[in-house]
Amino acid sequence: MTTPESAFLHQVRHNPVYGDFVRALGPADGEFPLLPVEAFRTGRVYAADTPPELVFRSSGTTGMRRSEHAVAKADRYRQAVFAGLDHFYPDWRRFVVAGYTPGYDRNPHSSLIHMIRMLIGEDASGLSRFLEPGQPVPSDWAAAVHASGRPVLLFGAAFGLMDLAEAHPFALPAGSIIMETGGMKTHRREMDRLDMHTRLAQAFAVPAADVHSEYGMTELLSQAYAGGDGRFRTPPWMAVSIRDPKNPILCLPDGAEGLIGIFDGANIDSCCFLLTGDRGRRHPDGSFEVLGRWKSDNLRGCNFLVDE
Amino acid sequence: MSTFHPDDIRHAAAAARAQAVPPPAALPLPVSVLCLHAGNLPLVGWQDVLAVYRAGMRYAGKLSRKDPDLIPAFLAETALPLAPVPGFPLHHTDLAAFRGLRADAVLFSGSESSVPGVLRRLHELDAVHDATRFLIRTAHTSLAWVDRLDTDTLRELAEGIARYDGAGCRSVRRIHSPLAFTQAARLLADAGSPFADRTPPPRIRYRQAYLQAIGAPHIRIGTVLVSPEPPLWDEDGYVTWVQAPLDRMIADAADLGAGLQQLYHPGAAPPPAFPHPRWEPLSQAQTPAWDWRPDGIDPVSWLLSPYFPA
Repeated sequence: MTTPESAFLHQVRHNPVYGDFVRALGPADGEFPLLPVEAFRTGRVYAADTPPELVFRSSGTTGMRRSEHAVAKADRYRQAVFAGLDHFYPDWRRFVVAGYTPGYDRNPHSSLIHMIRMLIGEDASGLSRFLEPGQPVPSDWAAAVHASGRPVLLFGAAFGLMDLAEAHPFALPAGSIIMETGGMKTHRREMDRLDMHTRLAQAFAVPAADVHSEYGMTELLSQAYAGGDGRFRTPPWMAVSIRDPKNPILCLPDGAEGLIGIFDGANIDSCCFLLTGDRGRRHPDGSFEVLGRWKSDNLRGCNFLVDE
Repeated sequence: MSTFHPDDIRHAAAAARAQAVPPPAALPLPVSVLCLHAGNLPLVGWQDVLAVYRAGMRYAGKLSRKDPDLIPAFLAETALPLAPVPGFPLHHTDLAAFRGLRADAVLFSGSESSVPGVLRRLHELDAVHDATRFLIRTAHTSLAWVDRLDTDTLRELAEGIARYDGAGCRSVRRIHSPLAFTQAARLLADAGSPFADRTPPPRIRYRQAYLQAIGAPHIRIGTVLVSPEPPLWDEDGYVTWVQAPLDRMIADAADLGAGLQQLYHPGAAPPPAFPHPRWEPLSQAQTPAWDWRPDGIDPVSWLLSPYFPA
């Protein structure tokens, strides 16, 4: 397993962007420097000598440059995804995997869709599949899944699943898990996570505790997962720290809110040390909560703090 | 220990001393005003003190714990004759000190997200009453138009960017110019030499290391980073250079809406193609006149309006 220490030495030597970042920062007391994920929008963040086998791109919005993550070895991504699921969901292969997302052919550069495609490919029964967004779940598929006696692992972005829940609710087989992959803020609504999970549970007839969350991003190869308690946990080769927005080289104590920083040992060929723009809070057991995007007006001079 | 560089404090004090403020209005009854001073905006905070004085009202000021001495020092230096009644002027760093004040008006400058919490706390403390009037200013962004690179313009621009470490709603946050960043960068960096001895805080060092790592063009003036579009961050200590015709500035000002504080122009007059009430000379970016109108509102008129209706 890649340790942070060995990853740091490797990347300072082999990743020009991270190496330059560390050198420009200079000697500093604190933790390993975390490269802002925005670096993936401005150029290639890469630490391998061979051409990438995969390139993931973020969806992005109009006028915004998309992140691009060059993955040197496709098999490393595969291993990270499967080992992560094995860690948190040891019996996941028993599930029928469904992705309520655009299919792979329509978005081949999405890391999430690539991941779901790999999971679907592991199910020889043919029941696992992508579900067409905006359409009701095909009744023949739902019947076949129920007849199989297998539970469903349903992946989807939060707002997409909410659309499905509102327009075409249906009962999932007992033991199923809904895996929302983030994206609770859309042009149409912003919703509290707990409220959303409650509504999804009702619409798909599963206990609220079986609405889980996945925390991943284009710039990472590994994922963290949250069960019903809303606290994300990382696989052993990944770790989260909460960084001080006023000095991101420093970690904040457990319970304090700050920027979510990530060590992803699977990212050894791009960058293992990343600073996200997400606001989070860590707990003493190493789990963490995602509290939304960090709002920069927290760092604006016009902000008035009732500093009592 | 102030959060400000000593030069900034001297600059603010000199500006405060230089203001010739007219005498106060005569009010038919005592009126108390609670000013919630954001510590990182010395002249804006001072301007609120002046507004209370001009309105002939009783001043109470919640001072920032980071800079508790600035406003009292300005009061002492200028010998401003605030209403000399028992209990006033009153200033304190602890909001709880204003418990039971029941102020008739509150002046507040801050981010929109902080407003609900502040209002709730004031009511909990009985620092306000049911009829208290609130003047809440939330504008946060000032833009500068730069269509020339003469010595005065560059000096004023550097001052507008780097004074108070780029903090506050009057500091230049975005530069609009028909000129390329590469044309101006070296000259502007040189013009910022009076701020060269300032040590950037860790956040800015982190940002600058990032810009260097990705090969992004940028300069640092004092503790403030300037880089061309696209904007990378929206926070104090970072300024974006927008190379575009004036039309783009007009569009950006409209997009900012209530968030727009000031527009600055070099030389004597703003570009005639863009009439707007918020234009000010670039030279005044960090030295607002006593009658400056934050968010376009004259605080003296606002304070007096219930007592002297138009």
